[in-house]
Amino acid sequence: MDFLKRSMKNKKFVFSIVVLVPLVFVILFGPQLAPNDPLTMNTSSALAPSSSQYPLGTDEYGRCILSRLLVGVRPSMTVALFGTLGAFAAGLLLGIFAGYLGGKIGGAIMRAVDVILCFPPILLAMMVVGLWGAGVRNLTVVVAILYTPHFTRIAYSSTIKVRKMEFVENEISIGATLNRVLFGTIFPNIFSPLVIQISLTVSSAILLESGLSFLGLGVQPPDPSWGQMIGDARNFLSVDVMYTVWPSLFLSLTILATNLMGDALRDILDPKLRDSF
Amino acid sequence: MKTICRRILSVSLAAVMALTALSGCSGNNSNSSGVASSTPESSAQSQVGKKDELVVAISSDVSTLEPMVQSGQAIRLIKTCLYRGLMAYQADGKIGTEIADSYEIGDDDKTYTFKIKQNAKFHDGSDITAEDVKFSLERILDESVGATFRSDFANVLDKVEAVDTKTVKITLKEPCAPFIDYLTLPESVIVSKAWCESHKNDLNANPMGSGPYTFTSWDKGREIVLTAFSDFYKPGKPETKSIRFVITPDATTRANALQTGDADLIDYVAAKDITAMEKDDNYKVYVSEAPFMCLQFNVKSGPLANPKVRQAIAYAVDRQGVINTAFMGRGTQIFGFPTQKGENGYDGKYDSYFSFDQEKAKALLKEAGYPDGFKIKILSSSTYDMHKQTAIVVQDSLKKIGIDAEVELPDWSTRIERSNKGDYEILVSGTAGNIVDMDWTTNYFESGEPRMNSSAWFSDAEIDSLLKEGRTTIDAAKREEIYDKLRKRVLDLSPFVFINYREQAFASSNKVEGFVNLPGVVTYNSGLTLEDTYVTE
Repeated sequence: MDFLKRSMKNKKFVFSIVVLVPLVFVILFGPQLAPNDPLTMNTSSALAPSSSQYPLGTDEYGRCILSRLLVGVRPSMTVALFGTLGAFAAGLLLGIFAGYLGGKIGGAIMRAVDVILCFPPILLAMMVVGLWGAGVRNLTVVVAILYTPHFTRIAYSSTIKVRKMEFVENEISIGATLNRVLFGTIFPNIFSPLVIQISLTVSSAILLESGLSFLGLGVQPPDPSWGQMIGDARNFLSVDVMYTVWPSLFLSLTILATNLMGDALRDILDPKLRDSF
Repeated sequence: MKTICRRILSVSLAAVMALTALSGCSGNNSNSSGVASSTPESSAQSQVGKKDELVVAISSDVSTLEPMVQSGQAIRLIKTCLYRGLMAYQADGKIGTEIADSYEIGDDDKTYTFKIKQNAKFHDGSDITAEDVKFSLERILDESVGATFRSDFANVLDKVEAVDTKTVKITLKEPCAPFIDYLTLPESVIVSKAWCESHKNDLNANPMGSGPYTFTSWDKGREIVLTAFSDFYKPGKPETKSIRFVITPDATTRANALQTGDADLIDYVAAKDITAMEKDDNYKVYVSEAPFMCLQFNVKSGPLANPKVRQAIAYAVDRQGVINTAFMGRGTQIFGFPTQKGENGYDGKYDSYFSFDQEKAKALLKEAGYPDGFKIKILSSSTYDMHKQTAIVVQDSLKKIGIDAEVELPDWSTRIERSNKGDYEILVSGTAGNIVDMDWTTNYFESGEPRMNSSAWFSDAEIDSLLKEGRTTIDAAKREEIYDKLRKRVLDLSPFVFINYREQAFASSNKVEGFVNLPGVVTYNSGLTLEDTYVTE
């Protein structure tokens, strides 16, 4: 109850909920909400302004922009959510082991993970896509790999801090299994920074997916995705500004909301800030 | 609340900026404050009322300046400023002489005797001699040069002899009606024998020809600067003291460069910009309709080996859809063969050989044994929007007759590599014959190994013999008949599906004079008129 009360007082949290709840609805029911088939072309009314048939107008192929926006959210979100969850799982495991074991093994794990950080994310993503081809599945794997180091580092540093605590040493001294120590005792105590990282990673992953789709390396046509729509629309900026504005607006709002969600969670979950609300 | 607002602003800005940065709009680096080093010794043509510099924004980077290799239409603009051949298309669209002063064809139709202009000089000051012509034609045949039209010349050239210093005699293996056409190609140019011999035959690193401009500097990936050649064989030409070619691959950036005055002339104007600029008095738009969009097929195996399937696709493709989408409604549908009326006596007989009829397409698929369609891949490229958009419209058209197509969109160089090897099922292609004469079809339909402009593994004995007959027959009326049969046969077998003609457009500010976009296929030789082009002050 206390958690909920503090959440509702947090303006960032309220804002992101206002954006994200409808978004989840769109992700789940987008195809049913779409007024037209997002793939049906009507080339004689290409780049048409908004009308009752096409509420947000049409793209260069005469396809309904609104329908494409509603359906195009799915690939971005699939990549971002599953990629982040993958990164979370991998990062948690690697980090918690490295932190708990320490020494040479821990160091080796952390240095290996650091290698990934050496590459600019978009270049690594382009390399993977170039090798194995584009598509939602490959992009998800790319996102998972790219963001694993972030989770690993957080899990590692938190684990180091926590394992020196007396309750952990107590646990070890009574002969608890490794599994129990790691996931029963340490994990709940490093959980909150990781949750915040999830929210931040989701927003960068959306941006990464959009960037790759923008470059034509993400979702393959004719299936829509927001980044790809912005990329296509860019060519028609001088002819039809709104075509670029709609997907950009949707994308910006989504990224903003997930970012604010991360900030809000940090504030809410931080015990030190508890009194300030 | 204030922080939130600021946050909203910064995050949305960051998102938009990140995407724009990715688009690779590297901006136009041109620096109009006279960076170009116009060398004083060649200021012979300094004239009042004309600017000293012409800035041309071109669409493609320069892979090589080797004159005998076709390295892109944009680069041809540069090469025709540097090099000239014996003959060339002129501003009126007819063939005229360049380095040649006159020529005669022998009674056997196999010997061509060219007289070289007395005042024709190379940029190093030496006279152009018959030995240079002989060397140049033989250089095209030299495999180490990798000349684009090597096989075309190798098929017809028997020998080249220097009769005296200014007379050269070319003997062909057999009569070749389009031989003069081949000599007008921007890759059939005359180079200096002495220069090549003293520069390891490397004209990419050491460009030197006899065109109206001499090579000055090349800032790789950015710009090439040329300076007027004062001893050019056409007195009073060129009109401008120096030309700067600025490499500007992004079409929108190019149009912006023209609008801001950073460029005087731009090539490959996108359809949307053509429409806008035509309405604006500040610009001149030069439009020529010649290249065509088409589909090529790998006919080695599978459904596409069956002509009925290919015909079904010819009926199924929504040509107006392609024009509306990829060319903003500008272009002409092709339901027959891509020959302009009048070309070798063509009277428009086959212009509605096909039609847009998806029911008929389905019936043909059924006849061919694919009532439920099949799965196929379309190779196109994300580099050029028109290629990508054409592929997506074709994909949609095929879906309607039950063919489930997947579009592959690699970058352009991968696309070229794969098309040259025949590594595709359906290929989207935008092309044009290299010469005006119907013999351009040889490159497209002759059997042989897969190459860029042929449908991979297509071969037909009748077409091969018609092509040979058409090439070696001199009589115009007979050639008309031969090419009539050829068109019919090609349409029957449909190794290509022709979609539409598109416009090839240049645009300039209204202060530019003298530039001409040559009609039809010769649009690609329009660089010739840069010698007449200048900017009024």
